[in-house]
Amino acid sequence: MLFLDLLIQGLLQGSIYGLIAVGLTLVYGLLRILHVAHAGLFTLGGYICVIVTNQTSSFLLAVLTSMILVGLAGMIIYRICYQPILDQPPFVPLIASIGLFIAMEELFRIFFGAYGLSFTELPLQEPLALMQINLKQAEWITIASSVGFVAMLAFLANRTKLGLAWKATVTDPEIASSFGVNIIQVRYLNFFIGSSLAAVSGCMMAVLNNLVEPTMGSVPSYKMLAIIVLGGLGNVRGTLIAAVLLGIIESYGTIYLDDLLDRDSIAFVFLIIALMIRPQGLFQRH
Amino acid sequence: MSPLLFVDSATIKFGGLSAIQDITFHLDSKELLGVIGPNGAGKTTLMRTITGIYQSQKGSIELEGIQISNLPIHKRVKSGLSMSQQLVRPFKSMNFLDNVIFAAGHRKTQKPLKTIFLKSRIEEKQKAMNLLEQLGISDMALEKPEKAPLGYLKRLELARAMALEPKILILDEPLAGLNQGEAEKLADTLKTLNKQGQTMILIEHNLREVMRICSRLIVLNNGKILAEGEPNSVFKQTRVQEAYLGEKINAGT
Amino acid sequence: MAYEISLLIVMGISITAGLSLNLITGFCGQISLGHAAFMGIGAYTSALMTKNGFPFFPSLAAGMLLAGIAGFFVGLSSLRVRHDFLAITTMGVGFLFIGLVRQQDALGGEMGISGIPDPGLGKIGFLLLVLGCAALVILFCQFMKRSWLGFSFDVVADDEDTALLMGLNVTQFKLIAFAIGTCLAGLAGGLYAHNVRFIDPESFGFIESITVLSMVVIGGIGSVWGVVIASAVLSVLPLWFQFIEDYKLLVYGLLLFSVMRFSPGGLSAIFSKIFTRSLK
Repeated sequence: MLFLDLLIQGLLQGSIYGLIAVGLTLVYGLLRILHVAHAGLFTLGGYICVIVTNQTSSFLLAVLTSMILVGLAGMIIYRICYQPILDQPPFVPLIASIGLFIAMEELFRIFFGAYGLSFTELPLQEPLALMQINLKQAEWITIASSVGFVAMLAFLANRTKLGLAWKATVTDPEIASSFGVNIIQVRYLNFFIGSSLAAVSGCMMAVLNNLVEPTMGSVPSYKMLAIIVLGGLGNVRGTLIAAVLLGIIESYGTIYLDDLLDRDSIAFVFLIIALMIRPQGLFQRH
Repeated sequence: MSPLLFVDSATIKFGGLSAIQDITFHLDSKELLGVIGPNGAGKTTLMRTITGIYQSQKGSIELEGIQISNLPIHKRVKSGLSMSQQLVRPFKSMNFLDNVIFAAGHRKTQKPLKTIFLKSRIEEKQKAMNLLEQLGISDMALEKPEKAPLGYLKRLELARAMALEPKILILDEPLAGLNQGEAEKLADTLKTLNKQGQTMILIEHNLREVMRICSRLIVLNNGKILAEGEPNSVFKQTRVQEAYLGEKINAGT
Repeated sequence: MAYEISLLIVMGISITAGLSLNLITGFCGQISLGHAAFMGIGAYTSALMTKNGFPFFPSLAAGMLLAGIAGFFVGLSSLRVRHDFLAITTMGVGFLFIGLVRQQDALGGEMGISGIPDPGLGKIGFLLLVLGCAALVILFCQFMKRSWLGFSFDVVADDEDTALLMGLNVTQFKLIAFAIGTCLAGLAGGLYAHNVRFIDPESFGFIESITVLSMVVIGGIGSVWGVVIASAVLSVLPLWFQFIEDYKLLVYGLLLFSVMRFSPGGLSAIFSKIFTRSLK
């Protein structure tokens, strides 16, 4: 059963990666910014979730609060940090973002302590068997939310006026704005949605580990970059596939590659090989 | 004797659409060949194929009888081609003079490992200054390109291409962005250069100047050669007139 | 006195490290987010050699050589990818380096290498060596900046495509930048290892790469003196003000962010602005 266990563990990890990476790829698709601070928002989401759950004992309320607050925080980051430097060469926003992320991590440490926070009563722990697979509720929800949110995103993008406006802006901002699309609004929305998804991911991570800590975003921060490149920058579906595949590969890698390489480097082996073979990413846009 | 440049069946397809198709022509030493044609005829694509920015999917390109089709851009430049681009691309971090000095030092930069021992720029500076003066843009020598008007940038692009001392100077719309007076003057400069022995290919929309200075014309339309020959006789051909009239009608709608 | 000496040693090593990255990122315009890996290669190589009885200077040189060779190969990636992609690739190289070192017992694994022998130069001797290296690297950078090599780097950093049309073999110039820059990083790493006399994978992790990058960026990308000043100040700030030590990363983070946000040209841009203003 080890084989199946590893697969499910990989799927779980992949779902978490997917939720964060999708937000990141949305930002890249629209603004060509490598938004490293996105992982800081993921951490923020986890913290808000634990704090609100402990205060109100409602996990659902906590997730909603987290999504909204983190979404707003994402919009603020766009306004204050990125908007003024969009015309600079790409490394400028990238380094700014790294700086911001490091500062965010430190702020979490200073405000909430280096050892992190836990739930006073851990929610969603009842076992639930579906298709003979026995997992905790929290684990099912993680997988379901990653698939669900991405499906919702696809629906929004293809079936609603707002989504079409977004797609038009990604393809060609100038033409989109000549058709009356408010590009600034689209960008804000983009950051709101992407950041909320990171918040969901942070919440699920918090429940799965019963822990949020200042550095919980540091591994995702760079691994996400590898995933969105592998997924074909700006490509939502490709990103999700890359995330899940990576989760699964890492899960097996921990067992079979451990003598050679630690788990967190696996993503980069693939990244480097993939980029050298196909510099435009595995899943090409459009 | 083989021609200076021989282009055989140059073909470029972008996603199934041919930008240029089976273009064959030659260029003799000391010629000033004009390449004209309506917008989208494939003129720029053809020049980019010659310089190696695009790889021809067919045929071959020979410079002085030597195959250059498989060489990368910088080697083609070294072997004697240089191009002034339609869309200007000055080095933005340096002033006009440095832009040209760098091009003038093309012999110094051939062997990268040796460049660290080369310091003097005196000779190149003199050459660059002369070029800027010749083209009438020396007043901007110490300014950065970002502040300069298009007419100046066009001539900077030309100055850099000239500084490379090419066997063939390829000019992609060097007169665009200049007023008629400036254009006439620059066209005269080009004519003089040509008389001094510089071989050139000139892509231009300014037909008046093209007719005046070119010794031979190639007319492109829809990626193919429509006509070729001495300027006046080329324009007497009905299909050339149609291609140009057609463009005017299209532009009017 | 001993305290001042160790401050100066830290400064000198940082200047060497900062300038080595400035060569790649500042001069030649190739961003690298994994520079600490090359310091790591220099540090591990030289430390393992001196621990096994090799003399100090040949070990240091071997570390430089190996780092330079590794840098050359990583530089090959800059021929395939540019800008953001290159940033991610070099970051990946950095993580790969510590990922590999961590799992190798021969390299000390997670625990690192301790008991690295003293180079035997005495405290002052070592200080002079470090400062001498830093001074040489500064001179070398100044010399290079004024040569046609520096000129060509400027052009590659400005616009690679147009550089090709100037007949420049862009590939070779990039590889030269990577090889020289990473070789000097190896020097900084070797000096670091024999100063602290203990190294572990974390000493050369992502944070370290970012720290070096912040020296370059805050000093002003491509400016030699800006980077020297930023490296010197940033390296000893936390040692001078004990209270910063705890907030060191917060300060780094905010500085990096603020400089990029408000003055992407770094300190050197701010200085030259003030300078030109005061002239007018």
